[in-house]
Amino acid sequence: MTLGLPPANRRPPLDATPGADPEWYRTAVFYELLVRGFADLNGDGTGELRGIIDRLDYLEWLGVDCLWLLPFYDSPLRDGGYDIADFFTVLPEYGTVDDAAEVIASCHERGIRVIADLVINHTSDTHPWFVESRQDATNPKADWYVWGDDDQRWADVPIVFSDTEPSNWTWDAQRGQYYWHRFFHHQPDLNYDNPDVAESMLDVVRFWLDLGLDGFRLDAVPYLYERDGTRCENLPETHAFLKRLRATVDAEYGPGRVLLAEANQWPADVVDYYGDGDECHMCFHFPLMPRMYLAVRRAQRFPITEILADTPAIPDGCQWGLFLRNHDELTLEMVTDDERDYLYAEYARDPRMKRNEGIARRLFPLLDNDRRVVELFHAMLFSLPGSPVLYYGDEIGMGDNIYLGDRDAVRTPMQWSPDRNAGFSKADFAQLYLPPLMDPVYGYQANNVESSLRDLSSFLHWIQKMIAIRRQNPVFGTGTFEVIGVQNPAVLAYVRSDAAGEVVLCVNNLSGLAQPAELTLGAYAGATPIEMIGQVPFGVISTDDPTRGWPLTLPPYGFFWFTLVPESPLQP
Amino acid sequence: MIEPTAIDEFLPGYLGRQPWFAHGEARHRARAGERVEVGATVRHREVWRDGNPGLVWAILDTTLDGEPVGSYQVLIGLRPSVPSPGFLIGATSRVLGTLAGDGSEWLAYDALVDPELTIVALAEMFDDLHGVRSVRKLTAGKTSTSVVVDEAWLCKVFRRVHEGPNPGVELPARLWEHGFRATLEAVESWHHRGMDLALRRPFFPGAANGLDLAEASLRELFASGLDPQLSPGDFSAEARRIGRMLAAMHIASEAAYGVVPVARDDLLGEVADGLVALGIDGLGADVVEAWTRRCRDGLDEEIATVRVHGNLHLGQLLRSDQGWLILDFEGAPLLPTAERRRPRPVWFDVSSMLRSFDYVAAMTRAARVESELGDDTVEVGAAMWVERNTRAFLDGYRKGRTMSSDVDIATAVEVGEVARAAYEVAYERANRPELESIPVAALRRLVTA
Repeated sequence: MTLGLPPANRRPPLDATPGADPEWYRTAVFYELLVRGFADLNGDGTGELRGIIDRLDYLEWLGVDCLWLLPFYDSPLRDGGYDIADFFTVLPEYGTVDDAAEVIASCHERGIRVIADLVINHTSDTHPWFVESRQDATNPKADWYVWGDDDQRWADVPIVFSDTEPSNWTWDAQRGQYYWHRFFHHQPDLNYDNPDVAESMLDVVRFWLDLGLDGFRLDAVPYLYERDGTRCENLPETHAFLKRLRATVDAEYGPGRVLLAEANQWPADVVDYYGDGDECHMCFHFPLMPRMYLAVRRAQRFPITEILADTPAIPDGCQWGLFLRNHDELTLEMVTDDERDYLYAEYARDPRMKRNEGIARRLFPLLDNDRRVVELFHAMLFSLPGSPVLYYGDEIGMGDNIYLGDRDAVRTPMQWSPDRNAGFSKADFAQLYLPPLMDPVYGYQANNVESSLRDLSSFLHWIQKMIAIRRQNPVFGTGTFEVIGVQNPAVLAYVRSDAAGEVVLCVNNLSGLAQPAELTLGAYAGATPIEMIGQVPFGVISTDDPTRGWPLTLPPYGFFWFTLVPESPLQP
Repeated sequence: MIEPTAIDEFLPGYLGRQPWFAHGEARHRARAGERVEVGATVRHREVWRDGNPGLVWAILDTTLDGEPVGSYQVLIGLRPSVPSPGFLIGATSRVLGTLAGDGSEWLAYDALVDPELTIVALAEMFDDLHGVRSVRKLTAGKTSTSVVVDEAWLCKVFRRVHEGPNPGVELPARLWEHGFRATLEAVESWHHRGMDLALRRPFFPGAANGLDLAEASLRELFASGLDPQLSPGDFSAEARRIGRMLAAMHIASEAAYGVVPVARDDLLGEVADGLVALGIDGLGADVVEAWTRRCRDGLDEEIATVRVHGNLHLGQLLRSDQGWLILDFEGAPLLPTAERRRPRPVWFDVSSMLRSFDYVAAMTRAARVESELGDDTVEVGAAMWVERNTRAFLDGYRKGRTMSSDVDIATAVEVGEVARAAYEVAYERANRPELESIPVAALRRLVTA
């Protein structure tokens, strides 16, 4: 597809030597992509793997470092592919294993890495393992899943999909027993107490890494094991398996392959998934994300600084994954009841926007389509400690369709152009997996990649520039993080600095009103702050008047990134 | 070298210019052109540093128009007037005067404006404060001056000093001992010549003052023109947390100091007398008497009292990443130490916070310049803000004390509000007469309702 892309610097292909850039994920920008919704080349109404290859010019221009592909395995698609029916096959609509290998190779040629979702906690109930397991209590796969004679065991364990699932147990008439499932009833949990299950899962990992994949986003990892008297989450046995998985990957593939854990837990529990640097390389920071929304609505920094202060240090070589939105609802499990009520009231004014314990909306509609707020959110996403994960379509300001079921509201087709079906597919409209957005604000007629590219002041051009700045400054990925004191509670300021001597000062105005700030920067006295987008030098940080901080005026929802250049030695 | 006694002649004039001396009354009256007679006798004097610069420490017993107004701590720096010290630019009220010595002219000034001497002074007070890299003076308070040391410590040097232990040192330690965690385990005190003269505690660089947060919330509200629930910057979650924190403080205080019952009529009588003594138009003895009668029915005959904070308002609270903190326990600055330590009903602290909501709303409203919003809109918005945060705060307090929602606290809170507003009137008359109308309006509303 020709999009009229401006020329971009071609990136060199990835260095194929194992371990050439072992910690690439610490400075990378990730791009989460729904295979089904990205590009449909064969006109069947569903996107496919080869569609990604077709749009690589765009992704390369955008400047992302790593694609995260949502599940593309064979599946009945009752949970967006998180219900896997065969780990070694690609869903036919999406293509073949060879296509997947070609996507990986094509991305690598352009210096882009690829990780894929992997669901290790459960399978689809159509997976042959489960089909066999449910037949009776004696077949070879009989205890590959978690079976019980009653549905009262672990009765206190919370239900994730509380909207649709009455219990974590479902009766199977064929076997005459209940099976355990932490998610939908058609997703039985695998029984990791059976060593054959663990061994089979390692084989799945080997299969895809052999194909060149750069790692996995591990879905729902806290729930692998169950034990009496616990919430069946974060158990030591689960950590032991993840350590074994990491050791296998390191031993057989060397450094540079990444494990990114989805553990929707409090920071103190999440850090356990890093182990001593011998478990997952990355974990998502779930509690931070809703607090960014909370902070901006409350026009004060404390929801953010509080959760960061509560976040323990992580081992060397590890990294947080940060995100504003993803393919799920904006999850509110990691906030207090009061905060949840408040966020619902603020961001889900229509009850149809609520899903499970969260809000099924995309970024732009959540933020009332206010470009200033969206930019502020990205400024924080790109500068807080962690690697940012973008969600496809958010870079052009796509909206949502809250009238679709489950979480499909945020999974509509990528909007490429004002052409038929948003340039996503040439299929009949009725054949599309989901209708593209056609509303007057976010609809594809006006809001698409092609028109965003033509409009030089579009959000797409802005974010492309910000990604480039971030790439040029690895301190955003690897630097230390220090909150800077400022009396004005609406202002969040921090310094990132690294061993190479790069020091970046980030200042964010969380309020919709212009704000003054006096920053306590005594430790940087004599330095000149240079604004990073325009390279404009600001006034030297002075300590002449010790009662006053470095003064700065912030526009509504404004932010600044400054490089602090130390006092230059006297000229000869 | 300058003879230390040479500064004595300048002391009365210097005190008369300070906002912390006699609650600023001397300064205020002098600015209004009135004649003011300040007297200062040196009770203790120590030379902490001889030479250039020099540092003299002293405790002064003072009078205003012949009446004793307490003891004050002063730290005086001495330097040659040439070259002129940069830190004195714009700080003329901190200069005592010029002295002759060593063949040149010397300046005597408040040493806490001089970073070098501040470091010397703090090292004298706190043994382990050596190798200090930076000191940063915060805006002077009404009774003390605070200095941030290396962005890690806050040292508070008291200006007005009292014999005996300072409640600001004693109270947080006792409360911590009894399980209250929204304060500091230990506040280190510099006890010298029988008095607590300075204290040191950790500094919280990312924290913000409660008053700043509440003002910001109100500005967001006024700018949005919406009701507080829909406006950005909602403060109610914070108000609820403050309520919970105060409940925890009272639980700890009851455990630490015990509960003392007082007769309802004694308490009401005391509040009423204080109110009548203010001589506010329309709040004479008969009106106040009617109010007292009405309140009597809403109160038990005996009222539990306990050691309270005594001067709780948003400006005393710090929002940190560990939640809300109360670090300042010195109590009401107008009252003598013994009075500050007297048990009071816990409602006096609760009501004091409610008064603070009213205050911040009134002050933020008054600080507005021209706007497209009519005064009525702003006034209604401010009233809704006060109501919403009052409700959240009381809800948090009840929850913190596991108090059933049908316990009627309205009268107890009202009595507390009247007592606090009466104190506020006295305070504003001495310090900020232009703000007196805020508590007076509250008293009229409460008493004549």
